[in-house]
Amino acid sequence: MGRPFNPGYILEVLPRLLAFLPVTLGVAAATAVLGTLLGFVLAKAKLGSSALARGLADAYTWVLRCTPSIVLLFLVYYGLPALVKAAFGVDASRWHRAFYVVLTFTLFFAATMSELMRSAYLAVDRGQREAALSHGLSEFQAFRRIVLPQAAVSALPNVATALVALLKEGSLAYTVGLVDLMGQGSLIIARGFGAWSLETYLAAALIYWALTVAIEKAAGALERRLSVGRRGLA
Amino acid sequence: MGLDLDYLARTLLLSLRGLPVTLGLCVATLVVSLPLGFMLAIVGIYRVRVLRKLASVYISFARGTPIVLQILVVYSVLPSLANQVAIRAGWDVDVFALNPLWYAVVVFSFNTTAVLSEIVRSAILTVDRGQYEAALSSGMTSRQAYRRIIVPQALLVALPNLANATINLIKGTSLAFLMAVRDVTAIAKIEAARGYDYVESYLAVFIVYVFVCGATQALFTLIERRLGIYRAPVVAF
Amino acid sequence: MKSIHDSASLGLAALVAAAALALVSSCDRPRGDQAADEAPRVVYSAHTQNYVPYGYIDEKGGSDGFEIAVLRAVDELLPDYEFRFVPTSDEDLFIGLETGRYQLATKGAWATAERREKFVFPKNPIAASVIGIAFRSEDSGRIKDLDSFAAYSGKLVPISPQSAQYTVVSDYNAAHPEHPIKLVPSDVFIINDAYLWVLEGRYDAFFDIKLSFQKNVEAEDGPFHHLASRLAYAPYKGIPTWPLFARGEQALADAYDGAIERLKAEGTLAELSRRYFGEDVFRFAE
Repeated sequence: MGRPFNPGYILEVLPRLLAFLPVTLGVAAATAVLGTLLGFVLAKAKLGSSALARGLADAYTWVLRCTPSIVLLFLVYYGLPALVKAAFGVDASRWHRAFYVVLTFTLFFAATMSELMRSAYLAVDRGQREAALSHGLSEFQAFRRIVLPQAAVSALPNVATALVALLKEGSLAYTVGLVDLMGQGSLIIARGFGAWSLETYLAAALIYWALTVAIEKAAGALERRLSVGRRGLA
Repeated sequence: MGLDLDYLARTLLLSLRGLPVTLGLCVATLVVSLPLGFMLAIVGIYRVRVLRKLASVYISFARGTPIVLQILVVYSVLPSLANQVAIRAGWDVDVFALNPLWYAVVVFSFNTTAVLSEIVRSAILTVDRGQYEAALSSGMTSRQAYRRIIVPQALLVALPNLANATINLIKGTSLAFLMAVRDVTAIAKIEAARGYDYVESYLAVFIVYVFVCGATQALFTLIERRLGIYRAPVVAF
Repeated sequence: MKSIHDSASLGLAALVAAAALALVSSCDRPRGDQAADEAPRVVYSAHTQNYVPYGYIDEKGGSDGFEIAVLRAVDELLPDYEFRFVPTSDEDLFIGLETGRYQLATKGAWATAERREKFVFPKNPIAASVIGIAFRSEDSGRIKDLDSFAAYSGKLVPISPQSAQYTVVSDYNAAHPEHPIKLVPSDVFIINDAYLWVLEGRYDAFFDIKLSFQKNVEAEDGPFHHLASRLAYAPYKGIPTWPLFARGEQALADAYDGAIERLKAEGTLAELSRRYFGEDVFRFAE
C-alpha cells in the first residue's frame, strides 16, 4: 500500500518547469535591483539627521512588515489603478500583471533591505570612519572604502537569505495569474488531477536548490574577498 | 462596491480566535529554532570540517526548497511511512491521531533554524577578534568570553534581522492551513468562502497582523534601545 | 557633504521612478473597451487556473476547460460582445468581479443564497459537476452513499472551503444534524495523496469529482490504478455550476441565457461535455 512513486517523472517534468524559469528570475532580478535602491534610500533616511525622513522611513518599514504579502499584492493590484484613474484618468487595470507583482515585491524587499543595511552599517565601529576622515579621506571615500566593505561582509549572509526568499516568493504572483516556475508546477499537478505532486515539487526543489546554492556561493566568495585583512572571530 | 462592515467586524472577532494558534506556532518554532540556529552558526564559524559541510547543505536545502514540498513531506509522506513502520513492528499506535499543529511546528522549525543560523553567524562575525583576545587575556574562559562579551554585542547587531525573521514567521504560519491548521488567516478565508467576501476578510486579516506584528516590532525596538545604550551614537554618513 | 548625499538619494529616487515608468509604458497594452460604438464591447472573463476540467491554464499558457469552451461558443453567438479570458486565483476572481476588473467569472461555482446576493446569476447554469465519495472497497458493505458514510464514521479528508464540495457537505450537515460528516477545512492543496490517506486509514472517505477518481484510479495510466480493486466510488449527486456576473451586468447575463439556450437546443453543450468529461454531465444535474 506504499505511495506510488515515479522517479522518472522528475526528469520528465524538469524541462517543463525550466521553461518558466525566466519568469521567476526576471521578477526576482527586477525586484532585487529596484528594492535595493529603494532600501538604500530608506536606510539612509533612517540613519540620517532629518527627524522627518527618519520617521517616514521607520513608519514605512513598520507598516510594510506588518502587511501580509497577499494583502499588499491586492492593494497594489487594485489600489494603484484606482489612484492612477483618479489622478490621470488613465485606465491602468489592464497593465501587465508582472508590473504589479514586481512593484509589490519591491515595496517588501526595500523594507527588508533597509533594515539589513541599517544593522550592517551600525555594526561597523564608529572609530573607523573617524580614523579615515582624519587621514584626509572625504566622507564619501570613507564610506565607500572603509565602511561599506565591512558593512557588506556582515550583511551578505542575510542578503543571501533575502534573495532566496525573494525567488520563492515569486509563487505569490500566481495569485494574480502570473505563472512562474512554482505556478507551472502547481498547474502541471492540477492538470493531472493531483497526480505525481511529490515528484513535481521535487523537480521544482532541485531547481530552486541549485539557484540557492549559486546565490550562497556568490555571497560566500564576495564575503571572503571583502574580509581580506579583517580580524574577525573566525 | 460597498464594504460589508458588519461582516468585517464579525470576521475580525472570529479570526482573533486563531491568534493563539498563530502565536503558539510562532513561539514553539522560535523555542526550537533559536538554540539550534545558534549551534549551527557556531559550527559554521569554527569550520568543523564534516559538521560544517552538513550544516551548509542543510541551510541551503531548508531555505532553498519550496515550503510546499516540505509541507507535503512532513504532513503526508512521513506519517504514511511511520504508519507502515508501526504496522510492521506491531505497535499499537495511531500515527494519524497526532494534531497537525505538530507537523506545522516541524516544518516551520526546519525552515526558521536555517534562517536564524545565518543571522547569528553574520552577527557574530561583526564582533572584532581583538575583543575575544582581550577577554581571554583578562582571564576569561572561551565560554565566558562568548557569554559576556561576544554574544551581547552580536545580539544587538542581530536584533533588526531577528525582528524581520520573527515577523516573517508570524505571517508565514498562515501556510499551516495547508495542513488544516486554523490560524488567523485560515479563519478569515473560511468565513469568506460562503459569500465570497474576500475583500473584507483580507482587511480583517490585515488589521490583526498590523496589531500583532506592530507589537512584535515595538518589543524588538525596545530591546534594541535597552541593549544599544553602550553603542556609539548614530552618525550620518 | 550632506548635500552631495541628498542629491545622490534624489538621483536614486528618480532612477526608481524612471525604471517604474519604463516598466509601465512597456506593459501598457492597447485596450478595446474605449473603441467606437459599433465595435463589440470587451468583456473580461476571469476563470480559475487549476480546476481541471472546468477552467485551467493549458501547457502553452492558454485558457482551456469546459466552462471556457462553453463561453467561447456563447461569444460566437453574441456579436455585441467580445470575451477575453483571464486565468487567475479565486481570491482575485472575486475581488475583481466586485471592483469592476472582470465582468464575468467562472470557477465551477455553486449557488448559495449569499452568492446570489453579491453577484448576478443567469437563469441557466454553465456546467454540472458530478461529485461523490471515494472509499475503501472493503467498506463497501457498510458505505453505500453519503448517508451511510456519515453513519459509519464521517471521517472525511479535509476540503478547501472555497470549493464547491465544501458547500455541499456543509449543506448536508445542516440537513442531517443527527449524524453530521466531520467537515474539516484546509487550504487548497491539489495533491492526490487523499487516495492514499483513505487506503491507509487516515481518513475513511475523500469527497471529489467523479472525473478525478476516473483519472487517478480507474484509468490505465492512473497513479493509483494498481490499487483500483481496493478503492470504490459512490456518486452523491450532480450539481449545476454557474457563471458569475458582476452587479449591473444583467443585460450580459440575459444575452448569455439566450445563447446558452440555443447551444443546448443545438446539442453543442452535450457535445462539449462529452469532449471534456467523457459523458453528458447535464444528465445528472437536478
